[in-house]
Amino acid sequence: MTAAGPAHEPLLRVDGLRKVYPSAQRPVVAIDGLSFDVAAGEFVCVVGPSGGGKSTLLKVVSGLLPPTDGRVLLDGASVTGPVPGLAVVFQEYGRSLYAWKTVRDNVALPLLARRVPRAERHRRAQEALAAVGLADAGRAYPWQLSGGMQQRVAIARAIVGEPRVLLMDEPFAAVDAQTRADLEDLVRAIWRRLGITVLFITHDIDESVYLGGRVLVLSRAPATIRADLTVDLPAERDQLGTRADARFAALRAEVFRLIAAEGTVRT
Amino acid sequence: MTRPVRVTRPARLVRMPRPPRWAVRPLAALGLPALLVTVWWLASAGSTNPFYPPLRTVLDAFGRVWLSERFVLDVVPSLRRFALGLLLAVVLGVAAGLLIGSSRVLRTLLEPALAFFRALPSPVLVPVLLVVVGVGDAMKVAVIAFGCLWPVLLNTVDGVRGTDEVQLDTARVAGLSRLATFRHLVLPAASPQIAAGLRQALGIGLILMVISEMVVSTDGLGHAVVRFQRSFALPEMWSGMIFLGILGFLLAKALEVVERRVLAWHHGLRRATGARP
Repeated sequence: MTAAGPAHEPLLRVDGLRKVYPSAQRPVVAIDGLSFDVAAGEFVCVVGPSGGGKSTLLKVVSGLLPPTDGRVLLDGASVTGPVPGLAVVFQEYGRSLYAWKTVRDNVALPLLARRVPRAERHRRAQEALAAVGLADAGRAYPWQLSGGMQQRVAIARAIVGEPRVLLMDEPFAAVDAQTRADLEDLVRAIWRRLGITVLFITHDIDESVYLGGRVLVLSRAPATIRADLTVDLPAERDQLGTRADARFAALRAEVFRLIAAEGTVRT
Repeated sequence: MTRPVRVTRPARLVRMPRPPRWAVRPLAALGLPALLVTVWWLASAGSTNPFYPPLRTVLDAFGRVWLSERFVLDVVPSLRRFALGLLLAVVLGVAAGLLIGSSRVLRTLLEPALAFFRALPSPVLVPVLLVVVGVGDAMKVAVIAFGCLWPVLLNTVDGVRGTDEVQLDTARVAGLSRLATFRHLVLPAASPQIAAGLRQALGIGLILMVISEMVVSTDGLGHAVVRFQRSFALPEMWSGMIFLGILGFLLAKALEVVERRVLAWHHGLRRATGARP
């Protein structure tokens, strides 16, 4: 991996990705020939029908699952396992945080793996917590926080190691509507401030349009890219104004139509 | 000019003054033991049967026997064997449990053998070990360790197998090494189960300590009880039983206190998530 790669090399490249779960009776093809590029600094949402291989896509891109075929390239280097440049926020915040560690130690986990000295771990964890609005929660335990706060902790843990790409797997599917709106704005704010690249997987059409600069619509399983839409909404977004925008409604309808054509729709 | 009277307020004033909360539980917990001791005391008070001496006589013997140099001669050796055996079992059980629990191949290979050894009543090892390692402390420690090993080992295996998938993915994404994953995820995640195994092991270890000392021994609590029985020192024998009971109770309580501190996060988590077992 060299800094001076070809000029138009995307930061994240998914190339001919295929994932088959072997089974004695009938192998399950979750992803079939999926390709897309993400440029540095983009916010890309992946939306698709439930059970359509979205989570499989995230697991393969993050290096947690090996692809059956095809490649994932981060900065031109093949991703064959978890790499520091890719951080993940899982849907199940309650299960991904370690109940025996304080919030601060949970956030510092990626730094622990990199043998960062203790004092610096604490300092950087504290910064990441401040970035998600939890500057005072460092000494608490995750189970003492609300669901939305726990997911903020998971986001802090993902950004503490300064990853190139932030992968998010339906991170707000399990929180209430108000918390969800807050967290959506938080992720937008972090994305803009840190200039990182976000690949955000969701089954929620509104969310995908509201958050993303681009929306990739997946087909039903086996997943392929059905459409690649540019979200030409202004960068400044807010829950009321943006959602009332005519352009937002048009994009939302478009994504809805694409997914409806695939069969199962969740709204 | 009258104000409307609230009905809910005066009701409080009628309430009896309660004893402070910290005092309620110990008092309630001591109720039944106090009753049992009283019944024993009264029922045995006039006993002339040498096999069932009055409790008064037994307590006399208790003070004479256990608050003397007997403590050093019998109790200390017993406790040393017990502690060594338990320590050995915990170290081996947790280490092996972590390995077996995280390897499907190892589990498949070892499960039948583990099931056999677990089913084997540990006291049966006493004659075998007498031949192999002799009559000394090593035999007793080995018996205690063998008996305590299985609950610790099997509970550790269970705990490790129950490690959450998402938490494992989290460790991988964070880049934790295999060793760091054990230290920061697998071991703490399994620790409530390990503690459950330890509680079982504590009881088993105490039993095996007594049994191993009853067979061929020159000291220890088990030996003392048998020696008193054979020399018809029956109040002393009874006092030995009481001593063992108190010892077991105190050890279990001590473990509980330690567990509550070390696994405070586990109890907090259970309260927060509505106490799933």
